[in-house]
Order: sequence, then structure tokens, then C-alpha cells
Amino acid sequence: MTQAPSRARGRPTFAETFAAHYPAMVRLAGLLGADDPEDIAQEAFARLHARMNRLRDDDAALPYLRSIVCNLTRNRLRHLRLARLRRPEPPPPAGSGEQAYLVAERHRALLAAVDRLPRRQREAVVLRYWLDLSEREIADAMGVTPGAVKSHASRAVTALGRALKETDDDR
Amino acid sequence: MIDDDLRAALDARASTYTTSPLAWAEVQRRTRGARRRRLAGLAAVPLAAGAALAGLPLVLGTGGANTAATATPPTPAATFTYHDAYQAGTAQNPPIGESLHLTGEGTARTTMLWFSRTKDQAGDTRLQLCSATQLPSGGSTAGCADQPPPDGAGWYAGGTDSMLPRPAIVVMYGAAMNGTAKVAAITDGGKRYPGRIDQPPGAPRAIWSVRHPGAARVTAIELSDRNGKRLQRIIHLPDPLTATDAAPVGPVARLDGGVTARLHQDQSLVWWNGRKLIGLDVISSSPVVNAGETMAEALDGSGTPVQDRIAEGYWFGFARAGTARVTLTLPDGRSVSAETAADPWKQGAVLFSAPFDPDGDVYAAGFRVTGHAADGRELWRQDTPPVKPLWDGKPTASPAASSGGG
Repeated sequence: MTQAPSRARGRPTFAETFAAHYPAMVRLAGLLGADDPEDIAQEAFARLHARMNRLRDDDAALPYLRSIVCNLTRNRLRHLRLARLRRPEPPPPAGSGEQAYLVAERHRALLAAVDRLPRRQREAVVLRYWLDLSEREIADAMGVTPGAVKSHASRAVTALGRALKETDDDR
Repeated sequence: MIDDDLRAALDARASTYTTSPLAWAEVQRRTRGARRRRLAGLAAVPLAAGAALAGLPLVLGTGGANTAATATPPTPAATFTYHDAYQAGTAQNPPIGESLHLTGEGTARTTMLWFSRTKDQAGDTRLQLCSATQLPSGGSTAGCADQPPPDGAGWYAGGTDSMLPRPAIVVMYGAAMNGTAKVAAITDGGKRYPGRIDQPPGAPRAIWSVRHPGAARVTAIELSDRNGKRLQRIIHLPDPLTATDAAPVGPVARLDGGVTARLHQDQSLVWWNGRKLIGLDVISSSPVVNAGETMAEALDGSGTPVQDRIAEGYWFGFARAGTARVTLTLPDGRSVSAETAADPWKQGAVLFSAPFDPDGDVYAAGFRVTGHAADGRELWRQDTPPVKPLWDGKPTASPAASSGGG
């Protein structure tokens, strides 16, 4: 009989947490509009390191990271709104032709509409549709109530639908 | 379905973010730095002392802090190396032609502007105007603003108008359309603030820049030819600058000189002088940590005994509980002191403010803040080393080609 290393049954080490979640935190910061997503993610991990032994349980690291990334990005945007910072555009879609172009165009219009959402609505959309989090998890990340999450997400989807309709009407 | 489209679009964008192979080393460096600062207990953390911007995450600082305790005010020998956003930005977005160097005003040391090209999703090449700005407290940030359609038009690229609190003098800049010789910022009341047009050698466009009082509500930028004929009117709708949309909690703290502070539900600490917003500290809170982060924990977490700023004729901030008096000392011997008051929100900190309006750039020479107990004992000290301008003296292109404003 083999025995798993004790660490495997206990709390993941900081290095393991970093390896598992760093790329996702960079992407989360980027999707929330951070101008330097890596800086946000690195700062979030540095803060996690300082608080590893104060987390309520083993599963709290990831929610904590998400909430810090949201906070840091929000703060950064709030204070340093250098207008219209360019965010990386998605690469051209695989394949080519008119359909691919229209899909890409729809992505572009949709992402542009996401960029124009108020901060809280944008957070709710990214956390819900990119990370597929529950309302409770989104509420924890955003530091609001689940009811507020529902409200932000609902308003965001309405606004995005309206923006897409206007884009379609313009074609 | 918009749900599916959203997932696909966000996935597509997410896949474009890359990670640096040096990320782990950088995180280790940050954690080592934080540990060292906690142990030292008197770290120099210029980021915490930003004149215009609050909070640690707002500017990019790298390098080692000078944590030596000395008995004299900080000297120019103390150093701190800052992230160079211009260097990083030009590496990522290579300049076309030379860069323009804009002199800073109030909340910004200097701004470097350069044109670059990028490809959009459809593979089309687009022109963009990039900027890198260094703040008085040393950190720097960079970003790019794409050329919006139609081709050939000018555009607003950025400025200090989006800073909070808004600086006394705002600088705005953007790309000019071909043939532009004059630029002016227009307020909603019709007042005009003329700016200047610069043509960096080798750059595909000229760059317009305007300065106007922060209190002015500029709603348009007007580009004209040499005869004064209007070529383009760029509508500028400034964002409503609100410190927070969360409700205040507890009483308002009233401090010396008429400064007041309010804590909000999202842990924003907002500083006012009368009805004028003069500062904002964002104290992180996280519902997944057992103890929500308080002002005391924010200080502890950043390894600093004090978070302060100099703005709008005041020096103000918050410090560790037990501090009865704080003193800021400049290298030339000038100083200002303030009695502290316990924070009324039970956050484990004390608040202070004092009228202080030193001439010039206090960050250029550095300064020291000391905290004393009621019996006069020194409890802590924090040195902010001199900030070396990142880009002053860099050869830039503009002045000879300037065509003036109007």
C-alpha cells in the first residue's frame, strides 16, 4: 500500500496554488479591464501569501484571490482611468470567410459593449459567464450581496442585448 | 443566444492574455519585500504616499525599498527603483517616429507620448497613441488608445482629467487629424482653453495637448487649421468622478483645518475639504477572510505605520493606533506636525491632517514621517526616498516642430 504525501491531503502550498491559478487570475484581471493584468495577479498572490494562515479553510484561497483581483482592478481603474486603454483583442478566429468574419465581428461588438459596462456590471458578467460562478461566489468576489449580483447581471445582460441590437441595426 | 456569445467572446479574449515566465520570481520578490517591511516596521513605501492616488495597487513600483533607520532626514543617497512604464510600453508597442515629452502638472511628473500600430481582430492595422505617465510618488503607468473610425480623424487619447481627485490643472492629449494647426478645449459654458500642436519627427500624426483648470467642465476638443477653420470637434464627456457609490458608515471624522473623512461600506476612506474631494484611500476588504480588513490591518498588511498624502494644501492620512502626534520633515529642515484623533469607526487607527503647502515637489527630495506617543516617545518613522524622474532629460522631438495653439 502506498501512502500519498501528507501535503496532498492538506492545504495546497502557496507554490501549488500559484501554479494552478496564476494564469486564470491574469485572465480575470484582463477581462475586468486591467491595463496590466500580470501586475494585478502578482499583487493578488503576494497578498494571498501574507494571509495564507488566516484563510477560513483550504478552499478559501481561490475565492480570496478572485476578490483581491476584483478589488485591485477596480481600484486601479477608478484611480488611473487613462482613457480607452487598449486591451488585447482576441486573435482572428480559426478559418476564414464571411461567417468567420461575422462571428469575429459579433465578438468584437459584444466585447466592446462589455468594456462600456459600469464596473460592477462588468464584474458580474465576467464572473458569471467566464468563470461560471454561482451568485454566492460572485457576491463573495465582488463584496456585495447575492441580490446585488442578480441586479448587476440582469442590467448588464439587458444593456449588452441592447448594444448588440444597435450593432445589428447599423449593419 | 447572448449567453453563449458572451462565453465565447470572453473565452476568446481570455486566451489572448499571456503570462510571463518571470511571474513566480516576481511574486516571490514581492512576498519577500512585504516580510522584510513587516520585520523592519519602518519601511519606506513611496506608493503609500502618493499625492494624488491612494492605495498600494495603483502604481507600479519595483525594486528594493530603503528601510534603514537614521537619525537625520532622508538624503538623496536613499534610492528606490521604479517600474519604467515607458520602457515596458515601447517594448510592447514599438514607437513610430520619436516620442513627445509632455511636462507634468500637479499629479503627474511627465508624460511620454508615442504612436504605434496594432492589429485589430479582423487583422487590420490600426494606429494608436500610447502614453506613459510617472506620478509624483514615483510609479508609472502606460496604455494605448486606438484610432477610432473614421480614418484620418483625430482622437482623445488620455489625460489627467480622469484622476481622482481631479488635479488643479488638467492635461489632456490626443492625436490630431492631418492639417491641424490649432487646438482648444471648450467648456460647456463656451470658454476656450487653447493648447498646442506638436509634430514628433517621423511620427504619422501630430499630437494635440491642452491644459485647463481642473474645475472647468470641458465637453469638447476643437481642432482647427492655420486659418482657424474648424476641422473636427471631438466630443469629450468626462466621467462623473465619484469616489465611491457605497453608503457611508458611522460618523464623519472632523480634523484640523476643516478636513473631514468618511468611511464607506466598501471600505473607501474619502477625504474632503469642505465640499471638495481631496483624497481617497481604498482599504481592501474581503468577505472570505475571517476578519475583514480594517485600516489597522491595511497598515499591517502593507508593512507601513502610516498612509499619508500631500494634496490641496494639506498633509493628511491615517496611522497606527497609539500614535498621538505625527511629524513630516523635509530634508531642508522644514516640518509640519499634527495631533491625531482616533478613528470613529473602530478600525484600529488614528487620523490626522494639517495645513501644509510646500513649494515644489516634495517627492523629489524625499521626506520622513515620524510617529510619537503621548509621552513624546518616538514610536516609528517612515522614510520616503527621493523620487528620480524616470524620463527627464530623455531626448524628445517636439519643441522645434511646435506650431503653437490657439
